[in-house]
Amino acid sequence: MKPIGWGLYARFNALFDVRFKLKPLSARLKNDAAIMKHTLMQCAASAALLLLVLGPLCTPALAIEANAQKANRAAINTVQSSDFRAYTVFDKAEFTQNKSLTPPREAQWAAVTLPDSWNINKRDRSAGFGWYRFRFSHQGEHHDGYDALQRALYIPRITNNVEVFLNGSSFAVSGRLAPEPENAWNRAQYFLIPPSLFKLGENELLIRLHPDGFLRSGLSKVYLGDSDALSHFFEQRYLIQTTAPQIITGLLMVMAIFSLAIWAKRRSETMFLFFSLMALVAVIRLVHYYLRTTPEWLNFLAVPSLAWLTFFQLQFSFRFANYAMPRIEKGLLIFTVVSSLILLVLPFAAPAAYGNATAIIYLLLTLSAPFLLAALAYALTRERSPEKMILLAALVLNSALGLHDTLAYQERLGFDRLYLLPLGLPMILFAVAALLVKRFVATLSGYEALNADLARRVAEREAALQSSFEQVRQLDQQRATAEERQRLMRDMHDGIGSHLMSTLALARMGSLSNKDMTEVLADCIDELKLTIDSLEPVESDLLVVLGNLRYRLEPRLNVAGISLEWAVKDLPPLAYLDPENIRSVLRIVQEAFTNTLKHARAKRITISTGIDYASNRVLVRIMDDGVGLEERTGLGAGANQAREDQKYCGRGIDNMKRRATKLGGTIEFTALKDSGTCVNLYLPMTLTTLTTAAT
Amino acid sequence: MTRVLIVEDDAAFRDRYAAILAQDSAFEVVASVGTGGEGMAMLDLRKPDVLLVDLGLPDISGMSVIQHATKTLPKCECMVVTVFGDEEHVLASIEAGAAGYLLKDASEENFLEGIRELIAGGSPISPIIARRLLKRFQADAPSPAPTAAIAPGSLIKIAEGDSDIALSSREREILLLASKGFNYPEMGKLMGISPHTVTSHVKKIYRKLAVHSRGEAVFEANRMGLIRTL
Repeated sequence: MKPIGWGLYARFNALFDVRFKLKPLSARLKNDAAIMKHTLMQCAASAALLLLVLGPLCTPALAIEANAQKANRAAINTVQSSDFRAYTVFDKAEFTQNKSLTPPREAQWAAVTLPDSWNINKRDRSAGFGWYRFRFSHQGEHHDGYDALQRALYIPRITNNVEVFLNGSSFAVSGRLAPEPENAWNRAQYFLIPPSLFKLGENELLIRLHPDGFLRSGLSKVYLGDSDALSHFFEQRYLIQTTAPQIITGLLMVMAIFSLAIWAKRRSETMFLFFSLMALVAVIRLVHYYLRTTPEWLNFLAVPSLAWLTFFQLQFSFRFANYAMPRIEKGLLIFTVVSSLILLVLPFAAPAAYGNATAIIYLLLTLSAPFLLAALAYALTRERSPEKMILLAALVLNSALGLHDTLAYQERLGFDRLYLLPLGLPMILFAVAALLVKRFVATLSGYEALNADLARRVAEREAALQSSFEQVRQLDQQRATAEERQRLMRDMHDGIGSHLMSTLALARMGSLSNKDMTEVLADCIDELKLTIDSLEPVESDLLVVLGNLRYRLEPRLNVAGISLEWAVKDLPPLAYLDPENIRSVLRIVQEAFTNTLKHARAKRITISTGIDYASNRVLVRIMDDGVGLEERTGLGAGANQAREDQKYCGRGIDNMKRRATKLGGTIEFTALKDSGTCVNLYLPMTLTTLTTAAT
Repeated sequence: MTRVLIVEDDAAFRDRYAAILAQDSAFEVVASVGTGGEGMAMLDLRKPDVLLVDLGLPDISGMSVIQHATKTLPKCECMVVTVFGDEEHVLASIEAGAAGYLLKDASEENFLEGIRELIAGGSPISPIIARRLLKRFQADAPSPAPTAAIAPGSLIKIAEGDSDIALSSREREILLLASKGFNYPEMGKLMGISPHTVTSHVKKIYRKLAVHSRGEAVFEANRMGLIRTL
């Protein structure tokens, strides 16, 4: 495992950014100023973030070391029985190398200082195991042959495994030593020492170090003393080195699945796909920090995964920023694919070159990191938003941590320096989480706004409808009123008006007798009553209409000595009986009455109603027992009167026919066998028939 | 001797009514006045048996005079004299307590006949009025609510089986026949009763309508614009 970061410090980015941009943009100097501004702001943000985030994060790690340095350095042999919190830190040891698994008896011991890095001190790994010897004097109290204190051995870092001996007796190993040694390179060691192994006076602690063929080898400082105090150091370091990466692995997995699910539903948002892939690749790398044994395929994948991680992170970040730099993206993709192919093929084709190839690829990635970070910083700061700033901070932080780890790996910061890169990964999760929260809230707010808007629009439409309904209603009313007025006007004009006019003309000429005048006026009043009755809503009931006419006319018929027989039968409702049509019917029947009254000398009138099933029509029959229609002409006092009568009758009959046709009906006049006339008025049942008949 | 009070603002009509009544010695005109106020005063003073009243009086509505009469003189028969005998006026008068109506243009015979019939216990009814009454009582009769409730624009609901104001089946039949245009003798023949019984039934129906609509009389009359005060 090679924890090489993909970034350098942000202040380098500024320089790279400027150069990177100056070349293609030489003609656009104005833009350069903007870019410079971006870069400077990014520098400031990065510095602040480094102080704010990295500081507290590293504190516990650094504190362990600091505490250790400041701790009670008293040698174990000076420990008093009253001082239970004492330990000693060995920063010097004697060293020898051989291939024996048992402690060497005769050997050349050389003094070394701890930590002892085999790379830096150029020790030969093929020369066998490394033996470190520590001597100390012990004067602890014994109770029943046991030391009063439980003592422990704490070693912050070993590479790769150790076996420890006290006074010639082995009491612990750091992990499996054979056949395949386990990984312990990033795992602090803590061994309880059996009290019986301590001797009064001189004691000898031996550590046999198993170097690793590939990894760095070496031994950090060694802590010996009270188990409580040392376990505290151990737990803190274990938290950072093992537990935290484990938790972060879980987090990454959850987020990877979550965002993969989002992408599955929203294919266009490839940001979530790339985030998911990035998290998965990060997990591949992360598990190496704490797994004691890793499967071979995982190791195999881990090497090219850095390029993929860089690629996915770039893709994700660009999409997060809603910006694209196709050439950079394409270039990185080509590099990633080519390097992966090389790393996958090389172990089989040319195993010897594998190490160098890896180193070159990692170096190229490291060198490109500032450029990429600068490009991302530019993309993320074009349109500011809190979650983009979080992502930018995360990228900068991870770059810083990557740089730290690179330096640590190169042992520039001390052999037992902690690796911090895993701790920076959750920051990227925060950025995604912030984005999702923002979207969720925006969606909810959007829905609320939409609902409010909809409600408002519905209310507006309702009001508009209401007012248009109101307008229509008013128009209807106006139209109805106008029609009614027109109808009444026509009525007055044709009926009572002309009646009064002709009477007035006759009266002026003095040719109107008192009796005639009374008759004309009575006619006028009848006319008025008829109009009034026609206004009564009868709801399609023709019998009511006819009955009322009878009620009006019967007193006058009785006075004239005519009896009226009422032989009506129930009729179906006639839906078309509006005032106009009612009046037409009334006029027809009234005309028939008048004819009989004036000219027929009848004693009896029979009115009957029924249904003519043959033609599916309503029948109204007015029958009298007077003289027939033909004979009426000769009834007048003289020839003139007779002609007048004929004319009058003819006009009356024409009017009746016209009105019946208008109603969609017909009227028939029949002379009865013995004497008298029968008027048959046929009316349609429905308006449809009416319209058909009318046209 | 039937004592008649005439309340009519047109002097010509007053004189005509008086002249017609004078033809029959059974009638005595106790007073003939031109305003509602005078009419009410004369009602209190002369206590007539019959009141002939015009609806369009100059001071107050004839309806108020009728109401005054029914309140103070329960035995006094009120007759409205109308121009057209149209339903709005006639129904409103009946609701106010009138037992019948006469047309202003009625012949002398018809005029006297109308008053005689009224005194004998009969009231006239036109098909349109019969139909109106049918509808009005039908709207109330099937009401399932046992308690009275007044809703705006509706009539007072009548408790089922309340014989004082609900229509009997015979009364309903009479209204139905009347709405089809049959006159009293024909109805009597159809129903197997005397014409006189028919007309007294009609008078009872009118009284029920008056009781029936007393509660909403104010509302109804105001809606019609026929009365100003009560």
